[in-house]
Amino acid sequence: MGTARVIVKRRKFIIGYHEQDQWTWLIASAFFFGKIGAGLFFVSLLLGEGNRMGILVGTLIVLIGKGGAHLLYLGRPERFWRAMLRPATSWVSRGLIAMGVLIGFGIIFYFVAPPYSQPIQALRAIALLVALFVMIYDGFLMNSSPAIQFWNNALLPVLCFFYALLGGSTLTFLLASLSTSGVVRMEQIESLETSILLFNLALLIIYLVSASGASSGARVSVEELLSGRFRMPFLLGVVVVGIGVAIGADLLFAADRNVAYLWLLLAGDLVGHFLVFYLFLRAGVFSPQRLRGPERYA
Amino acid sequence: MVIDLKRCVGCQSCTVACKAENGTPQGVYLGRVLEQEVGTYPNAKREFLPVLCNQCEDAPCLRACPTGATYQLENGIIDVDNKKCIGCRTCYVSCPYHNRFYVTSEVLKRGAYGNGHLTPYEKAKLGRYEAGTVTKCDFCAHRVAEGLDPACVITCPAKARTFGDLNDPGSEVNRLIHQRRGYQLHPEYQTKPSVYYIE
Repeated sequence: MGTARVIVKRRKFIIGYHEQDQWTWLIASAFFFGKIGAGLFFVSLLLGEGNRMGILVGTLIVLIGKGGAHLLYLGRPERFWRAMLRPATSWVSRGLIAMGVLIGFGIIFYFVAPPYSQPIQALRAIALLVALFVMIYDGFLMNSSPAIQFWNNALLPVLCFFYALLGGSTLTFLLASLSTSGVVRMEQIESLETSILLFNLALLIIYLVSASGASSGARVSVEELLSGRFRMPFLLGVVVVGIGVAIGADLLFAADRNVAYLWLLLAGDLVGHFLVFYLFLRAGVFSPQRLRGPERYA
Repeated sequence: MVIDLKRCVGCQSCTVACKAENGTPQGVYLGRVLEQEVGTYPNAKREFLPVLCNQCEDAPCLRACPTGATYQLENGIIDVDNKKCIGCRTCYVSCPYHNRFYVTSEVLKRGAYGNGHLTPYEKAKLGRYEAGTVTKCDFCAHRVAEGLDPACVITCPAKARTFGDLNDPGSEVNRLIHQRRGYQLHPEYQTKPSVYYIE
């Protein structure tokens, strides 16, 4: 009898692939808000010098959305400050510190009006790096866990970056269309949107192909996504809605400047973004604590 | 620790002894015996694998913990200070051996009979656990400090477990590892587990 590709739930006393049941929707929400908030901050500061609304909204998304989801998730939220104490080894510590610094920069850049002086330009470069860190650190955090083989992929931080960039640019796009200040030129982002969406699709395919050939645990996770429990939400939510509908809405907006298409683009983008990382978390499995040699139970 | 799989009969007495010694809440099994059916009829058999925290020399949970709640004792045992734990469960997803347990407030209140009333035994034992934190096997550090073996070791009716000092070349555990080609679980993760298996 081969190792059945059945995911063991509720930690039954069985040797097999055990489901990862602790990091679920709240951690996925924290990652999601962190990425779109930091992405919006990043794009606002990079493209539209003085797009202070984007900076403010991005900072608030990180503070309230990401911070709130983390606090709701923690078993002892009153001790959250302790999570900053081990940046030398822990990605959680590094992420929390970066999040705090990003919020500080958010306040500074909301109140400092452009044009920026030389020292503020230097500060801006640092703020962009901090935002970049918040955009990608959850990829490194997941990557650092040796237990879940599906997450041990160098592409994960890259995927985080491009999804954060997509979320940030879509939100900037929407804020720019609603604003009359003209600090952000629409065409700068418009051309970016479809390219990132297509790039994300390619990245997802490469990720799944490389994971399926990497290790047995990662292969089981890929099977869970493509043909198992998470097939429908992955194919429908991530691929059809998150990429297909979003590209369609972007093209429709380019043809007919109707803000409704922008809202559709935003909805597709956000649904796909949330689901991809939620499903990556849920599809993660602990490998069997097999005895000597994989062939024994193969 | 060395576990002789030839001797293990899957009786789960180590699981029960661990629960009794540590008074773990419902659903928390710091030590347990996993099983699996191997082969096909008529050559099928059931194999057992006793598991517990591997007290890794290079523990991923220790590196991942953002608060320092997970720490290493001088004798190498990895322990958790639940006064420092924030319940982020990063250690839980970092442990390749899936040997971390999250203690919810619900399991501490519900009690073994599920009616919300704790037995005197539970009242005495559950005090060491804190809701919203993670717990793990510590090789019965309180017993080891007194020169005793962990509860799972002394209770095993088949004497499948041997406890000792891996740093002492003349110890019984080292003899067993060398003579019977002891191996660790998931050596590919390079966590250097302190639990060895022999067959």
